Amino acid sequence: MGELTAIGFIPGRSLLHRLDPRTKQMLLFLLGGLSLNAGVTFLGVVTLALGILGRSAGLSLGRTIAETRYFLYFLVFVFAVRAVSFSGGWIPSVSLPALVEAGMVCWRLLSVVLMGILLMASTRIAHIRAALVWFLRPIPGINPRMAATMVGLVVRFLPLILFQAREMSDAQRARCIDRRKNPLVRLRHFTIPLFRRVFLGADELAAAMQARCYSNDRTLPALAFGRIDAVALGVALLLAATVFIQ
Amino acid sequence: MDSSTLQLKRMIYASLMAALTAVGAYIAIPIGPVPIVLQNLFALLAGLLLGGRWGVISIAVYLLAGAAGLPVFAGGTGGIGKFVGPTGGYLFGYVPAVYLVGMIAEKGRGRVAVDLMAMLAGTLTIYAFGVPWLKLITGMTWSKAAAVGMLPFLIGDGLKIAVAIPIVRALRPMLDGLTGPVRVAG
Repeated sequence: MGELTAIGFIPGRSLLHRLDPRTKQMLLFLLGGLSLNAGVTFLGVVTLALGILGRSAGLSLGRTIAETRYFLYFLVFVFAVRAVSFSGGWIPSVSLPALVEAGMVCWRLLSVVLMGILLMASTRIAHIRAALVWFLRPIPGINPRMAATMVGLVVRFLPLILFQAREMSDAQRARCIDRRKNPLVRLRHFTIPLFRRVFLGADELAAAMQARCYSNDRTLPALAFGRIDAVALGVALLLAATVFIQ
Repeated sequence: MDSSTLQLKRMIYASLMAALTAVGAYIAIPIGPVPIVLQNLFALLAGLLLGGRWGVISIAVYLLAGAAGLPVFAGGTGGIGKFVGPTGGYLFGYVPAVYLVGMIAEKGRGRVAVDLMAMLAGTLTIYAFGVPWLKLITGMTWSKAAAVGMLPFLIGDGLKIAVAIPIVRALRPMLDGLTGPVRVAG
């Protein structure tokens, strides 16, 4: 059973905390997109920067590893698949270029995930929501406030649903449902109760939101794009230029 | 139920379906050697349960959450990079697939044969976007792209389509009247 990376917001006053959430999302877009076909120079600089920023934002190395362990297993799997080739029949062969290439792929994936974790650790959900409203405003045909509220609900409910799923599968294991071999039965026994619980929760949530006079026109937290943001973006653009140095 | 309540409820259901789709990326039911990941089942169920319009909204919110860097994609990853990566086509493909599933299911008003057709069409649409994208990004031949990106999952897809029918039959009465013209026949 999977587990969500449970790293939530950590209050603080570090450099990352003080950046405008819009800046942070732009950085994530820019650097995350570039990481995917970047070389050693770029990845090295980005990883170093992420390490220092994460440290100052209050993330400890041990906790980060513990929270992302499932992703790390996944990376090990990716590494193995990439590094081992079956070119000459059934005997697996490992070559140095393949190993290096596999390592690079994993490094890229890891750096993108670390960026996401840093964003979550240093930004309140309300601020992420306000930034999303700002980004979506120029796109026609979208109600930005509604879209941002819905993303906020997803963030809020993801851990809850995962918790319910785990609780349910424990209850089912106690009743030996995992002994049933028929995959259709197992899928059904898993999905129907999970959806039912989630939808019942949705009704309660709707009532609770109405009781608190929810409307789309809530006051958003004020965002300020300051000098520190301009500097951060400038540094990021310089960093982006290093992609071309291989 | 007045219109604002209805709107709020639909919005919450669509958000929760998006969250469930994200959860589906984390949960694999170990059956045989290849575990079955529930993500595309949950995504297509959004179409079946919510109808075309709200199904698409739900998937769009899921993709938006992923693009904003939240860890909602398979393997606990997120970020814009996923869209340009080799599996990006499957993500884009969810939008037309869910729309198609929702539209067909709305027309069928709960008939089993129509729901089956809708699921089949949705599954094929996901591959119609996913496999060419995989070929384009990785430079594989068509046959290799299909062998890597489609064939291993077909048995699981068959199971998911088969299981989607009893699931929607059990769940539709809970949502009835909330999600437009989708109703249970009989």
